[in-house]
Amino acid sequence: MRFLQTLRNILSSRLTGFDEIQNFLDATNDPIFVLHRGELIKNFNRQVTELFGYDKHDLVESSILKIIKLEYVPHVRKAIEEAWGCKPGCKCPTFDVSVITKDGRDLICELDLNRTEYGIQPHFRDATEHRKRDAERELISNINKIIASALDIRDVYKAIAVELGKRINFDRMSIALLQPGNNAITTYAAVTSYGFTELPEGGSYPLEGSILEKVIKSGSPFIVNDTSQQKLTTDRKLFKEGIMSRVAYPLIYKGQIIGTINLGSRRVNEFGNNQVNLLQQIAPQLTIAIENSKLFCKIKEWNTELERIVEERTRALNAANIEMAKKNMELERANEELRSLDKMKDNIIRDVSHELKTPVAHIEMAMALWAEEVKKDKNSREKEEKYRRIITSNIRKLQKDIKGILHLSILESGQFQYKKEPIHLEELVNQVVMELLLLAEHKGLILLTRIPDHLPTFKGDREEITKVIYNLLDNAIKYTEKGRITISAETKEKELEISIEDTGIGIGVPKDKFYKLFERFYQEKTRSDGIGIGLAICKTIVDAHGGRIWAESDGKGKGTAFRFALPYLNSAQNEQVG
Amino acid sequence: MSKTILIVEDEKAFQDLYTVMFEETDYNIIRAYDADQAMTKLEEQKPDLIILDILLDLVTGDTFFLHLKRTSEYARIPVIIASSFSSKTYKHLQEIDPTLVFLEKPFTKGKLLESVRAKLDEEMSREKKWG
Repeated sequence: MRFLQTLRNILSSRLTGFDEIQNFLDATNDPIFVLHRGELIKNFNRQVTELFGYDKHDLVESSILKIIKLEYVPHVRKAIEEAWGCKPGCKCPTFDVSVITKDGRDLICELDLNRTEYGIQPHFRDATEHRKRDAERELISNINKIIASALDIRDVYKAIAVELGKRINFDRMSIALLQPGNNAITTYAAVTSYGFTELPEGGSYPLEGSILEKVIKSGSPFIVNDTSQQKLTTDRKLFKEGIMSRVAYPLIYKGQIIGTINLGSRRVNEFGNNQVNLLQQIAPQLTIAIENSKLFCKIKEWNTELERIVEERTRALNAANIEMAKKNMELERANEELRSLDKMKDNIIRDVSHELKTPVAHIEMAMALWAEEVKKDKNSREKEEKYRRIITSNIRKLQKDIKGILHLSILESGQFQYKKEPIHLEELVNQVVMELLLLAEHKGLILLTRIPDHLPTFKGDREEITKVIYNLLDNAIKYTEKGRITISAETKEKELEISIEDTGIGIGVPKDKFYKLFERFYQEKTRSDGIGIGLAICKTIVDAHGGRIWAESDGKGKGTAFRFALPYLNSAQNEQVG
Repeated sequence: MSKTILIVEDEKAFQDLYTVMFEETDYNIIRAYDADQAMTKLEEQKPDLIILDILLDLVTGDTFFLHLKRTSEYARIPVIIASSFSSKTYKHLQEIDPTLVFLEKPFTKGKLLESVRAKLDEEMSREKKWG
C-alpha cells in the first residue's frame, strides 16, 4: 500500500518520465507489470526476471495470461477487464494466482491489479513461503489438537502420520524411544503404507546399530539415502520390508534426546531438507505429547497405587471402626453405669429429703413441746411417756428407713454382687421364724410353718433371700392384730413358691394396683408405719434371682398373702444370679 | 360454741402430737386417718376447719383438697395443709383457694394455734359480712 501511495505521489508531482517510473518499479521488492491495453504487457521491473525468470524479450507486448497457470486464467482475465472499467486510483480486490516460471515451476502469488493513469499495473507478491507457513501452522495446530484430545499416545502417532502424509510422501512412520538405562529402544511403528513391519509396535531393540544411535551421536537429524547399503542394523530389517531410504529426526526434551521420529520410503533418496524442515516443525509438539503420555501413564500407575492404598486404608479403617464401635459400646456401658449411679444418688437425695423429713419433723416437734412443758414446769409422767414414745418410734422409723434406703440403693445400683450358694429353704425359714417368734407371741399371734420335706435346693444369696422372708414375715406380724400367720412352701413346675399368709388388715387397694405395693415409696399408708421400701427391696432381690413376687388379698380386713417364686437349681434364669 | 376441727393425718404418732397441742384449747377435735374416713366425718359433722396432711392413703391430701373445693357443700370450709413438703410444691392449690394456709412441718404449737385462730377469725368476720 505504501508503494501505491509513493506511486501516486510521483505521478501527482508530474514526474512523467517513464525512466523514473521504471526506476521506481525496480526499487520495489515485488514483481510489477504495466499493461497498456487489454492484457498486453508494456513493461515490467527486474524482480519479474529475478523471481519468474522471464526477460523483456519473453514478455513485452505479450499477454500477461501467458505466465498464469491455466486454471487461474479465466479469473485473471475477468479481473483485468473489470480493472480497465475502473477509474484510475481505484482499489481492485487481491486474489491468489499460480504463476508458471520460465523454468516451469508453479509459484503461488498474491495479485493486485492496480488501475493507474498509465494503465493497469499487476503487482505480484510471492506467497509460497506464506502458504507454506500457513500449511505448517495448520499442521502444527492439527497435531496440537490431536495431542490435546488423544489419551493414548499411539493415537497421536497415527494422527501425526496422517497429517504428515498430507504434506510429504513416505511409506512408513515410526517413533523410536530410548528406554531407561539408555541402551535399548522401544519402537512404535505407527503407520506403513504396506500393512506390515519387521519391527512390530512396542518391540524392544538394542540401541546399537540403530538410526537413533546415529542421531544421538551426531545430535542432529540423520538421513539414509539407500538402505541397500545396509550400514545400520535396522537398515537391513527395513530393506527387507522394502524401505529404501530413511530419515530420523531427534525428539529433544529438556536438552536430552529421548528418541526419534523416523520416516521411511520405498524410493531411494526420498528425504531431504524439505522433510527435515517439516519434522523440525512437529518434533517439539510430538516430544511434549510423548512426555505427557509418560506422565499420564505414571499418573495412571499412581492412581492404581492410590486406589490400592485407599482400599487398604478403607479396610484398616473399617477394622478401626469396628474397634471404635466396640469402644463406644464399652463407653455406653460405662455411661449407663454412671447414669445408674447418678440415678441412685438422685433417689437417695429424694428419699432423704422427702421421706426422712417427716419423722425428723415429728421428733423436732415432740422435743419442742416437751421442752415447753418442762419450761412451764407442767411435766407429768404420763405426758413425758407420750413424748418419749413419739420420739423413740420416729427415731426407730428413721433408722429403719435409712437402712432400707441404703440397702435398696446398693441393690439397685447394679454394683451389688449376689452370692450364688445352695440354699435349703427349710433351714432358712426356721431361722427367720426363730427370730420373729417372740414378737408374734407378744401380739398373741399363731405362727405356723408348713415346709414339706425334700424341697429342691436352689442357688442364690442366702443373706438376701433371708431378708425377703424376714421382711414379709415382719410385715405380716405388724399388720395382723389377731389370728395366725402361715409360712408355707410348694414345689411347682420349675419353681419353688413361698407364701406368707396372714389374717390381718388386708390391702385396701384395688387388685390391679397391687403391683404398686412393690414400687419404692408407694404410699399405702395404712399398711406401713414408714416408707414403702421393704417390699421394693424384696422385689429387687427376687427379680435378681430370676423369680417373681406378688400379693393377694380379698380386701380390707380380709388378710393378705405375699408369695414369691424362685426357679430351681440349674434353670437358666437362676444362672444369672452370681 | 366451740369450733370443730377435722384433722386428716394418717400417722398415729402425729395425731398424738396434735392431741397434745390442742389439749389446752376448747376446740372440738375430730380425727381421720385417710381420705375415706375424712369423707365420712365430713358428712357426720360439718367441721369449721380442716387440717390436712399431704401424704395420705391412696387419695392424697391434694386430691382430697381439690375434691373439697369442687363440692359446693364443703367448698367454703377453710383448709390448713400441714406437711413436711415445701409449700412451693403445692403452689397450684393456692391458685384454686388463695386463702389456703400452708404449715410446713416441723411447726411449733404456738404457730399451729395462731394459724388456726387466724383462720377461724377470718372466716367469722367473713360470715358476719355476708350474714
